[in-house]
Amino acid sequence: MLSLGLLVVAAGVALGIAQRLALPVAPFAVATGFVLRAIGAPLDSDFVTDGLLLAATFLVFTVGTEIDRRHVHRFRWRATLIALFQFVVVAIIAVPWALYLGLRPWTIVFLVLALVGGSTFVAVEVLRRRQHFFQASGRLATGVSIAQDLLVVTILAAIVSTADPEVSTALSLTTLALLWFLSWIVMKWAAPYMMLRMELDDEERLLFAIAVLFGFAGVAHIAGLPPLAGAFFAGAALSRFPVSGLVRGHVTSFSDFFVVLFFTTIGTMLVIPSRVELVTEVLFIVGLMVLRPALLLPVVRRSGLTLRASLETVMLLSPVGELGLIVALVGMQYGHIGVAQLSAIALVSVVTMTLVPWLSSPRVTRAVAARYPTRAADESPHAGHIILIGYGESGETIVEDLGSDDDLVVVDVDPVVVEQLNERGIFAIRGDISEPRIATMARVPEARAIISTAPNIDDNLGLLRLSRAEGAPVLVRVFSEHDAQAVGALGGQPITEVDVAHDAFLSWYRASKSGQAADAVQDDGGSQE
Amino acid sequence: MGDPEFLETLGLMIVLSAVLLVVARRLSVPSIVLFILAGLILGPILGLIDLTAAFGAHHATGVSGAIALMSELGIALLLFLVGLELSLERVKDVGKVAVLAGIGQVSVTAGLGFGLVLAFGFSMVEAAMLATALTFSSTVVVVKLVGQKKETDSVYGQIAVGVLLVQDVVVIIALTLVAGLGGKGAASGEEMALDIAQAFGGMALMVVGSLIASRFILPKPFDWAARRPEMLLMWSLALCFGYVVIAQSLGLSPEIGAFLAGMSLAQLHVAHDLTRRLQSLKNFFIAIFFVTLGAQMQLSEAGNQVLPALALAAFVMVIKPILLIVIITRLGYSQETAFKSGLTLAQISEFSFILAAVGMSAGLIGEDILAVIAIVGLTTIVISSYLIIHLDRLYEFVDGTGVLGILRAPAPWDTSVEEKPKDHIIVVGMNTLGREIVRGLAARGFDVVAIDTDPVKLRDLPGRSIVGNVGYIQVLEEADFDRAQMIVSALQIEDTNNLLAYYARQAEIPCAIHGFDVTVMDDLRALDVAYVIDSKDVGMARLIERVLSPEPLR
Repeated sequence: MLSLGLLVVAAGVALGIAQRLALPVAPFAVATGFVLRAIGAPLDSDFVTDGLLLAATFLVFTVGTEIDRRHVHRFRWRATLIALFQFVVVAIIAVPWALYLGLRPWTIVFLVLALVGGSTFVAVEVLRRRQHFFQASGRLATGVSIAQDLLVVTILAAIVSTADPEVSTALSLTTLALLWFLSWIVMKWAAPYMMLRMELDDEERLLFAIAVLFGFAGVAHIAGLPPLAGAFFAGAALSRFPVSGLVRGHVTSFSDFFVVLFFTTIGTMLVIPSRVELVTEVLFIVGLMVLRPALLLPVVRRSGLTLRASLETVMLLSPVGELGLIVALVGMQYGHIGVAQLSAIALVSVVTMTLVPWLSSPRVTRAVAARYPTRAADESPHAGHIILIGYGESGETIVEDLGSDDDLVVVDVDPVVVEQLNERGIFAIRGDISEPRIATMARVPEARAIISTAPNIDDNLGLLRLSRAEGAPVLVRVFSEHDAQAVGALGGQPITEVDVAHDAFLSWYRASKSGQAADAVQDDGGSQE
Repeated sequence: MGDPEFLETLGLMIVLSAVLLVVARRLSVPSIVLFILAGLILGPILGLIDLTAAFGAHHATGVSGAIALMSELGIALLLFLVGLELSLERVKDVGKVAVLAGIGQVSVTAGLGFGLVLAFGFSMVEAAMLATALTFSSTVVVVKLVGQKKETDSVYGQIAVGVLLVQDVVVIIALTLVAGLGGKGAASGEEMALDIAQAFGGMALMVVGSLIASRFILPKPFDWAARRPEMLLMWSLALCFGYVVIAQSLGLSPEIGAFLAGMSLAQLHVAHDLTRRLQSLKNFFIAIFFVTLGAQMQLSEAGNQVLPALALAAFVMVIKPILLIVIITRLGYSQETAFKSGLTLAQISEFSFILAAVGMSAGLIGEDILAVIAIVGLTTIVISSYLIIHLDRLYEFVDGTGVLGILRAPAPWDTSVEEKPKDHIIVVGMNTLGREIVRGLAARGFDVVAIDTDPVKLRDLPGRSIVGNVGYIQVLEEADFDRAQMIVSALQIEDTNNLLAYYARQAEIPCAIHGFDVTVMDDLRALDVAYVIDSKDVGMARLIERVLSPEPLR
């Protein structure tokens, strides 16, 4: 109990730090686990290894439950393609490094697979925090993460059966196919029947979900596959809506508990690398964080995303995450990965997972996009024009409604967007309106109005400070009353979504109630007659 | 990475338990019985798992050690949750009747039981342990079955739960005593008294500590932690294990630490949400506990103890309810309430097993006593489950015989169930939109229930509010969603909105959901959402209207 208590306390500390810094919890959990080991906390080794196995099983199961293709929308095939391309990219980066270090072939295979294993948790957490989950970049990043998870687990199961001489490859691969099929059967029929039709109570539903997990893990284990592969397919079997919603209601506490505990426990297993190892690993991390996004960017761009959205997507796909650590652990179990290599992968994972929220942030993607070459506009807009700041999804609607107006000028930092708009005959300037040069180009003082759809309130307030000096009226779409007050205080004209949505809802509700009342009067009248 | 045998054992335990639960659900057999049965099948009958080293063994290693730890975790979580529900409000509601009925029942049952067990030839210590085990009733069985009948809020349901809480306090005292008695094996009277005094001293220290923590230390950090659900869960578990470790270091049982940890959080407003979040974990680990218990039962020992065990089971099922019926009618309640309260508590408890486990671990009793408790437990839990399920018909039958007339109870005044709210509007997600909708509806005279995971966002809102995640159906049940006239969600979380729309469709309640992005609209419409709150679209329309209006913008 003491070991468990220490790990839970360490996990709690990690969660607190992560919350305070608004960063993903995983790297901090690994770090606090490592601190436990470094200070010589009395951890029972049996408990640590069994606990790690259980935590990994639930973690992989949770990852499996997230595989709902509805999240991916139109990006399914593109996501699969990008996930496959990731393998090639990672192999190009990692194999020379591994060969330079003189690693054995199977070690290299596990290593590449581990480095491909991204972090769905980090991607999802960052996207949810920014509320980009439902945007095209979020859908694509989620889709690639899901496809990657699916590929990594399938390939892991296949290579384990091939690498282990005691396991029949044919039997294992047949079982793998069987697990896919079984997962589909359970998803299609068994799970909806049990979870929705049988009117099970909470305890029965929970045990059904966990029995599916252990059932699949057991089948995998009997066939010589890693039980974790079974756990993943079990999660996939329960991932379809509305079963997934019910399952999440029961297993969320398990994932909340075991996922953080998994990272903390991993931390307790790591060793400090030598100076040479550390230098090599840092170089590798830099290579991975620069080369992988650079090689992936052209492929992601072909999905029709803007440059900034593409940059955000490739950055979100760059960390080595939970699945990478699990591949390394399985590799360790089969003797192909050593503690030093696990520590190296963990270090890569910690660093990349910590950097990703920053590297994929709007500030960084905007800065990178600003350095992308484009043609400069060779005309100036007419006076009395309307300036639209930011051409996101909302900007698109405005351009559709006002596009015929020759006086519309769009200002956006994304070069692709600007080029596309110019091709459509819409006057667009690339840059940040807060720069005097761009403000002059856009003729801000002579504008009839400035419309901002930028989601970030700070960007909008900056714009207002500038335009107040220039004298142009600014309309800003904001979500909350608090933001509206800030905009109003700087002389802007806020259009508060909440107010409008709230009014629209109440109007609808009153209309539906009066409709019901009218129906009721009619019904009463009918019966009286 | 870990011993695969551990996962195999765990897998067998869970899969068989789930199969038995599903197969036997039409028979309304309580889950505890099925878990013990699963353990019996896997252990003594088929020999598929061997957990003989796990029971009550704090130093077991390998698979047995891991399973033993999970069982301990289950018990700790169970007691943590019991402590978590011990709010001052609850104590006030059922205070007098629960305390008097509870203490009266416990002391008389223990006294009579002690005499009966002695008459069967057991030793004094064994008789004391058995008699104590007979006094407790099962929180899990009662809460589960009365809840299934949706009668938890009835007067008899509240009295039953109140008596169970009093019994829980007695359990804590009993566990403390056992910890004190078992401290140094066979000891002199003086040493035993010292051990008991040490245990009580430690407990007093922890109670005072937990009260101070609850009042001055915990509220602020836990308010902050509530902003991130997984942090709230992990911090409360950290607190639980922290208390467990402190309890162990003071020579107390881990269960006491867990109970006091729960109690120190019970007064915080996150307690209710935390209880819901911990239910699944507790259900899982407690299932492991009971399967382990079944797997370790010595059937040969049980065979020798059948007769006394059945006599004790009859005692539990007849004497305990009679005692409760008499006490409760003397306290001014109707014969129906007294009868139903008494019959509901006619079984022994999971704590009886826990007490036996701790007693065996302390070397106070042997496997034969465990076998007796197992038989009494199985018999009383199975029979009383059916009694609870058919309680109304049973009462009508007994009332018809006129035998209850001898109680001379007052006329029924307490059998009506409190009327639940209906035709209210549930609003989920207290972002700016949600709060505006709550205020707007309340200003127009609607009865509104606001739900959010963050208690801070629920402050200063009119109407009722619930802290919780609607991903847990219990949160919606607590909001009486099946009687609501509408559900509104202002959330910007796709999965939760879809699930809410699904629940609303199942319950045939109209719902309005925030369609915060164009990509979520199709799914919402497919789920027959009555109105999609399209904030972006209406916001944009207003903006364009403003730009195009002839009115000058300056």
